[in-house]
Amino acid sequence: MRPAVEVERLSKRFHRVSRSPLRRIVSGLRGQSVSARKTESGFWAVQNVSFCVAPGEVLGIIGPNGAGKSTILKLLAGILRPTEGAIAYRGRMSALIELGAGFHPELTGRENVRLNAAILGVPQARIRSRIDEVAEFADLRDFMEMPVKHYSSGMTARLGFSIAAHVEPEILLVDEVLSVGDRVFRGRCIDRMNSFLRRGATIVFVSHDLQTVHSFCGRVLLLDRGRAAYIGAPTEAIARYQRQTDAASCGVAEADAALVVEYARIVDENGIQRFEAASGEWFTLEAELSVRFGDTAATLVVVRRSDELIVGRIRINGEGRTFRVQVKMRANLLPGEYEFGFEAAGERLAGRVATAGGAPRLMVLGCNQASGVVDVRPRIEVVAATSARTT
Amino acid sequence: MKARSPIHEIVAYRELLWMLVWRDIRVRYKHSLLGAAWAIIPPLATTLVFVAVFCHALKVPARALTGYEQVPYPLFALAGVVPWTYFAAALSGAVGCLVVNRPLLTKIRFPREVFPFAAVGSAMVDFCVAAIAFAGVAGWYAWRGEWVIQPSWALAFLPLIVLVQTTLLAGLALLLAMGNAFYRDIGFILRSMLPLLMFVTNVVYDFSGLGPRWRVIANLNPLTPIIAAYRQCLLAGRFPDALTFSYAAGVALLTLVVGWAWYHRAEHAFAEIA
Repeated sequence: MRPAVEVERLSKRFHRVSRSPLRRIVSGLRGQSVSARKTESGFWAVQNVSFCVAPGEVLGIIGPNGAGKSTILKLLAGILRPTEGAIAYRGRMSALIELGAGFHPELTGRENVRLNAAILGVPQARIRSRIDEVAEFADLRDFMEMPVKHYSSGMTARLGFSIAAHVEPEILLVDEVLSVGDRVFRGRCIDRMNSFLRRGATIVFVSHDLQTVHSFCGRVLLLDRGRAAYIGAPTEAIARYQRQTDAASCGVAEADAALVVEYARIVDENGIQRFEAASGEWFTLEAELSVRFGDTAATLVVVRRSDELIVGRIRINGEGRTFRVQVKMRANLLPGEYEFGFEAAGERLAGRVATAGGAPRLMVLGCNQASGVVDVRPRIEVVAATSARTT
Repeated sequence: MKARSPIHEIVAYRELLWMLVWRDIRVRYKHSLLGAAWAIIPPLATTLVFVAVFCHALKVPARALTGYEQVPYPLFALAGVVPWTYFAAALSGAVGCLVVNRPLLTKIRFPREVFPFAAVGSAMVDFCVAAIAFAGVAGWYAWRGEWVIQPSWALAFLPLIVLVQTTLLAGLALLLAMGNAFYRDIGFILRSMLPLLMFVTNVVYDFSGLGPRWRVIANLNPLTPIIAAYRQCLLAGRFPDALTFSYAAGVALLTLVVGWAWYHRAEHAFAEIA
């Protein structure tokens, strides 16, 4: 079967500095790409990236900020022209690069649906018959006659996704758009994309939401400074990505470490790797610890930005031995991103830990309004109220 | 991914073109008390200013201004000011259209020609409204007997004149929008040159009083034969001057072809530079 999307040796160069208007008009009006080919110094946003996406496949693209994820998507969508390389695709393509781009604040929801549909190339006749469906999906039936300038950002995003979801593309490009909107809406978007997939659509999905990438994508492309660092199984790509982002903060080199965390990951009761948990949910931290020298007391710490929470301590003895550790715990944590790490305790050993695979991270989800780290599950009630005035 | 000609693309996206015109009109008049009357008031006001200056302050005889025996000056001026307003509004709208629509350019792929074309389209809607005002004024003069015209086949030429003007505007709109995207000076130049351009065009007076050599020079500006053609066909019931009008039509067509080809070659860069 021929691939739905074929990308060969794709490169895109941007100018690092904005050129003088005089030079721009000369090259621009001559039809040259603004990212000039040879002469001037440029910044390679994407460099020599090749991949194929089979029909019906979901390719995830992950990588740190500035790795070139959005640039690749814009190149695929035809918004930018490649400096080098070629892109071929088969089928009707629709790009969800920003939800509600092209909404006019003065127009009502209904008018904007029609305008946006036209921008996305949907015939007016089709959108007219489905406008109620669009409103229904976005949960905005009662707000369709209101100008979009009075919408909340969540409402705008919902309407934007809803329109794009009704375009029914054969190839869908999704860029980080699910990060807006609440969890319920996110679930509905994933459902919608799954129904596209069942009909044989192909999806290229850019996201920082590793949990969704892990569960939704068949293959994942990991980008690092514009180059393809890895393409393949989601689990491996995500692990490499986390290693890559931790490499800078990892601290001690493996050779100097007293304790090496060979790997550490978070799984659920079925052994499936997790990156997210609802507040209060049970999960397990699996780790392999190697003692390089001395008797080490490994301390499990949970870190959230500057807050540190010491969970417990395990005594592991014996130089050169490796221990498999399983820590079952409950995410009684307030919503936020947490990192799980080990520390070595003992004289001369403090802090001398190397983490080979990168510290696992867990996104705790929930809508608790409290602040801090621990969810103590308080029950708060007003027991009595007295009035200051006496009669 | 099939490469389609730009004309096929714009036909495929014609609904987007209508929607953008509709959006422009809707947003422009949404919060105004008088609404579409604003399509009529500016040309009427301009005409009144020149009537006051030429006919009342300077007391220039109408014959010298219009070159026609039997045409009242206000009607003559309005017949030039209405197409001129179309010209100025279309180009002013087009020049900034890529910059204004930057969020769309950088997010969604569609033929980039729709923006300048929509600017011309929305100016055309106002032009049509103003044309009704012109018909009203003409009717009033005819009813008072100050302007007499025999029904003539020349009126059938009117759509062709509008087409030639629109072609010229579409070509200029593409060039100006593209130029301004790369080089914001284009917008400043246009805004400062428009009033000047109005006076080297036969908007509020005719060039029939000029010597033959100057008349040729004045007619090099393609807008001059176009406005002359409107007047010949609407006010005098005559066919447009064949030579100058075909020259204007040729320039209009050439502008559109060159403008479109150039625009199409440069359009992929708009997302990066606009």
